[in-house]
Amino acid sequence: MDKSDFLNPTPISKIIVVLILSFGLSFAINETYAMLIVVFISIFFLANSRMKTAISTIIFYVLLIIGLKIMRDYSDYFILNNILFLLGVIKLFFLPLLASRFLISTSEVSSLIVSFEKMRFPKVIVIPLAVMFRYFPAFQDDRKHIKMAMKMRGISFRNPIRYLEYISVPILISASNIGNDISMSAETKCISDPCEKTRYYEVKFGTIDFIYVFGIIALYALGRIYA
Amino acid sequence: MLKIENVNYKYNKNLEIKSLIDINLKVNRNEAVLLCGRSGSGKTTVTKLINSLIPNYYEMGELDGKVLVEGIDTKKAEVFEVSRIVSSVFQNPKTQFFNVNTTSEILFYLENRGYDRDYMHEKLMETAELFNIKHLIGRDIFELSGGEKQIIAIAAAFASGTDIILLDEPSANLDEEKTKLIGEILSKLKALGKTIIISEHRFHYIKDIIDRVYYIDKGIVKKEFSKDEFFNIRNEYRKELGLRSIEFEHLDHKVRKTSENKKILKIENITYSFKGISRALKMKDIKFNFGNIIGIYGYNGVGKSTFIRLLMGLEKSKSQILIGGKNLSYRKRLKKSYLVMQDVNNQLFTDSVEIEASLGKSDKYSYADVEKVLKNLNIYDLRDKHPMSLSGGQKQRVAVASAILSDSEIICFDEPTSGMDYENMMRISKLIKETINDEIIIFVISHDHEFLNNTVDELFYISKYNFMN
Repeated sequence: MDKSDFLNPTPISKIIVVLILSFGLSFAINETYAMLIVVFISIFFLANSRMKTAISTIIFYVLLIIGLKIMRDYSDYFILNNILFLLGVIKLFFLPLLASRFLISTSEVSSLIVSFEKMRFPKVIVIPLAVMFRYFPAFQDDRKHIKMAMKMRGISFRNPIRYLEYISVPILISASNIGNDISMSAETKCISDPCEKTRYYEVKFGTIDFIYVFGIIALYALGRIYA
Repeated sequence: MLKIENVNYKYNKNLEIKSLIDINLKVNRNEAVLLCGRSGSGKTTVTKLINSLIPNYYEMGELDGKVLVEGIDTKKAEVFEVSRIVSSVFQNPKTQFFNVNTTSEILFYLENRGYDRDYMHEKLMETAELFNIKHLIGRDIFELSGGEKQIIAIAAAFASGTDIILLDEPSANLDEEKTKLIGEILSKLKALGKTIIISEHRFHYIKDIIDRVYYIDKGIVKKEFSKDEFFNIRNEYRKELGLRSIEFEHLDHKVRKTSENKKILKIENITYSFKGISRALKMKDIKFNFGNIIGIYGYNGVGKSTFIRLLMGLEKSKSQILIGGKNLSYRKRLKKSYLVMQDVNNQLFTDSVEIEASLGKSDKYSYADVEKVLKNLNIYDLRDKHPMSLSGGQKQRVAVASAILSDSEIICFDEPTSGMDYENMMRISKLIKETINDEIIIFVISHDHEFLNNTVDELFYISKYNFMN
């Protein structure tokens, strides 16, 4: 058994947390508790040897909060107001995005498939999800190269519309190539075989799942009460 | 074991273009069969027939004829049914994995087939023993080198326990050392009674295992060679067939041209520490002459690309790099540099060749110059086409056009010939030699010996622990 595995919740728990925080979007929660949720998830990143992510997440979130606080005082200025709005949107979606990132970057596809099967999801949903799930890490390399290429050509965000127009071409091509390759590879590995799947590293609920899910629920509930 | 009978195939049934024409071939049990031919000849299409991705995965295609895998007609079977007999190893190590952990990846097939844990454990141990990869078990796949990834892919194919192992250019992205290792692994598989079908451009590393060779040209099986016939083929004839060298080609170390050029690129000092690794790259007092083509070689993962990025200023570092006597900051170097990437798709941004070539164009060039460059590179007739609709070689030309028009002095190529046949390789070689002049310097990262021997003026070796000249 992988030594880090007992600190890694099952994908089911991670999905539950993503769902809680996504539905939670529609309600405001106390900022201290939101911060605590960020720290809580960061600790889980840390426990799964993602120290850099853990630290950068906390620093980013703190700067975001400070930035918002300072700018609120000057919200009469039109441009600042726009930036404020943008930062507000980032802050709003920060928690579910963070939880999703934890789900994607620390879960094995095979454990995800088994988890979904345990929850009795049909195959037509599970397999495309698994392919999607695997797309992001494969895209990392291409993303770096595209960024490099844009730097060389002097394409910068100074002209946002042009930037988006340019970047969309290689991204779409890369996405369709990667998606194609991954699905073909998965098909030849019998992913659609109708038999019941097994897993070498077992998917079992442990203490860590309990801590992760109920920790989030508790923090979220307290955040709502003191909102 | 495997029979392909009178197969004709079109990727798009509404078009006239046939990708395969009257294909007939047969592979016997425990045979190792090589499929070779030019890029785009239909080799990969044949491999997709065998693992039944054609016709199952391509809905627009039209397949005539019959493919029988152990008596199963692939037209009537699902991919997973054929995959119980055939394991596939693909060309690109980046996109054929499903797991983050190597152990899960090796066992992924068995998990999908629902085998129990004890069996999987046994199979894992057997695989680790056979391939001598105990050090790769339980690792994060994203931390492995390209060669190690490809070994894991073949290990996974073995762990599946299927009788047929199908490989599509498994050495395309690997250096000589790793390529040889893959060759040894394949010999072991053959000794175990596996049937091996492999599509390749590089032949020397599979010389010991191949029994028969099919030469495919424009979708037709043009020739069938016995092992002896193929590996004794005359050099002139193999070039005519568009094939890469049959024997292992040694790198020719002699300096071919010493430029008299006064303009030099001098690296006084480069220090760069890799993230998360204690190893740092250090270089001192190295000179390159403008007007030269410099081949950069060394093992996979040794830092060839990092060196190029530092040189070009794509990466910040404490470096002193002098161009024509002037110490230039990384920002200034970046303005003077251009990289033609291994996957050119990542650097094409616009919707026509002409606009693409002019994007980032230096003010010193006019529209007439754009026209001239496109003509010189033989892509003027394609100027209104979408760059993504071009062939790989044509895309590389478009990238070279924008390199020239952005007035770059340092032009770099990262593995420009991986997976290329003889003619395309020679075409790129010619293109590079035509591009060089006294005002620019070209660096080519490559582990393709035949290409380097044909192209570069000077070689620069990068070794494992630091940079050496």
